[in-house]
Amino acid sequence: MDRRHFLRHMIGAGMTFPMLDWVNGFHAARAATGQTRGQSMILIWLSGGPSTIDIWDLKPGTKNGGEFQPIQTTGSGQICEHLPRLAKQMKHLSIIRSYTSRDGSHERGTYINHTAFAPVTSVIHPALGAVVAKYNTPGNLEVPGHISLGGPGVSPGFLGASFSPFRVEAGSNPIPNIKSTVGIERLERRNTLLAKMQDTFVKQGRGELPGEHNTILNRAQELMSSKLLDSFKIDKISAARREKFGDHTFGRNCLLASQLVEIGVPFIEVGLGGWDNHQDIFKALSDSPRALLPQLDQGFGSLVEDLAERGLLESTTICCMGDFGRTPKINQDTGRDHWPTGWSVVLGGGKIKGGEVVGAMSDDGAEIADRPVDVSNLFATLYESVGITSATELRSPNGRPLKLVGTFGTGEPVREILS
Amino acid sequence: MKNTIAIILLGAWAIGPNLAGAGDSLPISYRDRLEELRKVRHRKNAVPPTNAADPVPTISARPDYIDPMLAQSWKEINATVAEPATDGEWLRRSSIDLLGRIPTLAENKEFLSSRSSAKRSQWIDRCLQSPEFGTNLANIWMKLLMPAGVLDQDVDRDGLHAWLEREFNRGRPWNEMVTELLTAEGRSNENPATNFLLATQENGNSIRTTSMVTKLFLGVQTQCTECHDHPWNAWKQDQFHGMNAFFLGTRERRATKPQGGGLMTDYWMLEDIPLDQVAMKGVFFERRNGLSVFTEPTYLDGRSVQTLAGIKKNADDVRDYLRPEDSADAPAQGVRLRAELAKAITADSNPYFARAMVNRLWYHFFGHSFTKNVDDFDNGLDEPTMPELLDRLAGDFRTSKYNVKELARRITTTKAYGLSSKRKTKKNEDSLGFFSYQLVRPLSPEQLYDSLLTLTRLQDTSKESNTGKERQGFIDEMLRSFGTDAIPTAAPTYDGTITQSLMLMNSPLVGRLTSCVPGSFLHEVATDEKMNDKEKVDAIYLSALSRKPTSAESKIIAAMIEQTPEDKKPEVFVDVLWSVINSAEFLLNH
Repeated sequence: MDRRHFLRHMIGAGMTFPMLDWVNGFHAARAATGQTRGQSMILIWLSGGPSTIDIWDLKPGTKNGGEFQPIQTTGSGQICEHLPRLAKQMKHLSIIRSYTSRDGSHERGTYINHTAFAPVTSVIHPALGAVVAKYNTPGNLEVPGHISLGGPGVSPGFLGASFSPFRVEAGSNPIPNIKSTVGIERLERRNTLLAKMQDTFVKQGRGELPGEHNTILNRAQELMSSKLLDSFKIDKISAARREKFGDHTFGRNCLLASQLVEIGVPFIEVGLGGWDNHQDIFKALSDSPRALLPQLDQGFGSLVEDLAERGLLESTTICCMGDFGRTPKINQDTGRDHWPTGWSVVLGGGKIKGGEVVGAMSDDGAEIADRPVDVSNLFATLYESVGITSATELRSPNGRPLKLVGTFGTGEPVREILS
Repeated sequence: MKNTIAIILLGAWAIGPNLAGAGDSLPISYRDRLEELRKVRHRKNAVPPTNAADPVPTISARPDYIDPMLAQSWKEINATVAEPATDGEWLRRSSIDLLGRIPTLAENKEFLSSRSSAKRSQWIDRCLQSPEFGTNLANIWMKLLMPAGVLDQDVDRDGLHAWLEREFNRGRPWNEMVTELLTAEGRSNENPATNFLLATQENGNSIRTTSMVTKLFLGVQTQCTECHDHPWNAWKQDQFHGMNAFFLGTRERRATKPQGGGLMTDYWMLEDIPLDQVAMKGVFFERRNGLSVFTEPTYLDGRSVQTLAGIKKNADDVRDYLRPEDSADAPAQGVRLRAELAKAITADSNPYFARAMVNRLWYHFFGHSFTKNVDDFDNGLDEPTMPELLDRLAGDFRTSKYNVKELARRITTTKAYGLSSKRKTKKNEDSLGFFSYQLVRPLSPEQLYDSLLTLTRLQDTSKESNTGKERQGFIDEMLRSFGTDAIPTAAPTYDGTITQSLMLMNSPLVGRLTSCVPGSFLHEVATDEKMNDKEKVDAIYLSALSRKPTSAESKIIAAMIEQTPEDKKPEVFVDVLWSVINSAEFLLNH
């Protein structure tokens, strides 16, 4: 159904809709400036915990070094030989080789590295994606500001359901249940009755919940008729561009992430799982049918290249990390275990300089040797890069002020990589 | 935020005389209030008296004290009290709360047409006798005992659910149920109660078990004290580790069977090794100052397991040692740690045990408990809003031999439970926690699915092949699309997402449930020649919302019917049903 048609009916049925104003305002702004995007962020989440000593910070020739050799990149640091595409893009990306996140459980590591806080029972902290969506969603965006493409989709916590991760998967049916099961005319009469019922119930003074439900319902109805839905369909993209990203879910999701940045979605998380390699790690990374490094290289590498080519990299911060790093020591099953003490995070785009290396691990890869960067430093850097003041405080439902950068450290951004 | 302070301040008022003398009530600053609370905590010595003759006030057996006590507090805080709910609202609410689903059309008709003055209490009794009551409570307790996502996947969830269902339905005393959950031993597929501990233990580590046990059965949060004394609440680090040590004898073992070339779990075995056979008879933990300290199994109130088992007469003053050998206690022969823990937790003299369940059931029926979070007593920040009422209910619960049905009856037959969720003024929000109006709360995924089936009468299609598969699929999908999978403990919020709204509007499941096919409620209504169109629409509304359509709604629907050719008329009823089940009024318990 045509959205304006639908809106007219909602208004006819007594709904008060601030939406129409900004819909018109949005199109005017787009026409006048051609600029509708703010600062976006893409988080590439390697769930299970990536072995960064085999990816971003190789220690060849040492007993912990493993099987891979480093290669030169267009930046100042070397990376794994199985990442040739990324090596060409490293001028856009910097490596923090001395990141510490302290907690070695998957559940807690995922929480900490998404929220900057350790989990507690009294409050659920909002995930990075919810915060970026809260501050950076253009007022006129018809799609949710926090989108998860195969990522863990961490809770918006006390920021509430409007900032929940919206789960989408690149493919033929990117948004489940987006199509009405009846024709326009019937949908219209259904919505007319529904709008009347909502209006009546919301106004009965039964607290906040009815209105909150109505807001979410309206957002869903709006999405059903949004023109932006076309951007979710990657099968309409040229074959050449699609092939570059690779014929696997992660690659397709990276391509979709690039599309979504273009329409102004402020936060997209792209997930790639399988990194919990307690055994046969080198096979899992490079030498198996679904080896992880080639997928990462193709998806992530093409994403950076694609964003740079289309002039979107200056407005898109990218960060690649996971639950934690993995032990430098190789265990008896040729695997590596959990190692939150010191590991590498890669970031670039936005206000982040490319080609830099921050910090270093000891020669055996076990301890931080130089320039420790903690969770608060990383979050401060990411927020600054997308134009959110890192000293910002939120207020929890208990009334406690909570810093966006959490409580793990000073909250100082890593200034040497911010431009 | 505003509410929080209001609660704290009102809480201060309610216990004012204990704090600062009867003359000092409002206003006092937030900070002053905190200071006062800390002092009170210290004066109270932080630990509940357990050997005291009776820490709970004497209880009157008269059941009608709840409404007068609430009325008194409303007068004191000058609360605006909501009107009584209509019969329809009350029926729908009590049906969802007690049976986990909306009432059927027949139940609606019968209840609304009855002129009996006792019809509400009769309905409550009927609900409590229905097997759906146990199913509903089991649904709720499964989420508490085995929260989604964090637990062992191969324990017997269905077994524990069936056990809870049966025990709640046959009115098993709550203290016996908790004892069984805490002391269970044996195979997961033979003794369903073992599955709680099997699911919460993590590879022999009982940190999570400890915090869940104190939270669920005592309503106290000890998890922060795993690492440090809490800055302002009553609970200390050694208390956490003392409790944790009760699981030292707990062993879990996985039995496997070959399947598809590999091994899969056949069952889990849970044991409790007697204390004298446990090598290390306590646990070490590290204080913030780096000092490593040893503690034996010690209940929250300071009684060691030897004291609990009657081997030693008096509680020690000292409960931490630097080395295990500093403790002179002889290992008790045959003492089982979990059995002693269960005795201490469920003891009549333990004021927390009954209070925790009362507070939880109250939360279930009002959407808010006497404390800000339902499972957080003595946190040093917020006191119960109505401590006298809470204690009196707790005392009655204990006197009734921890009869859960009796407690549910007592709460749901009050006038307060029957108040409307329409608030008269904005100011009403300040009386949150004093129950002068009902809180609107979202239907849980289970309640929603079961309500949809009650409404449409379309049974789970997958029932023959795989019982409950569609239901589980729906619930999982709903849970995935909630903004958070945390179980609410405080005043309700709306956590539904866009994904969920899309699912309720456009999913094949909802399409099937709203279709007009033979056997469905809608088909029966649409083809009933004795009813005219208006009566048909009335039946849909009555069934879904326990009310008739308003005149504005009737007008819209009449226009829909008028514009539709006779042969397409069933589509109108489908459309009406679709609109109704997508409305906040249907999706919320109000």
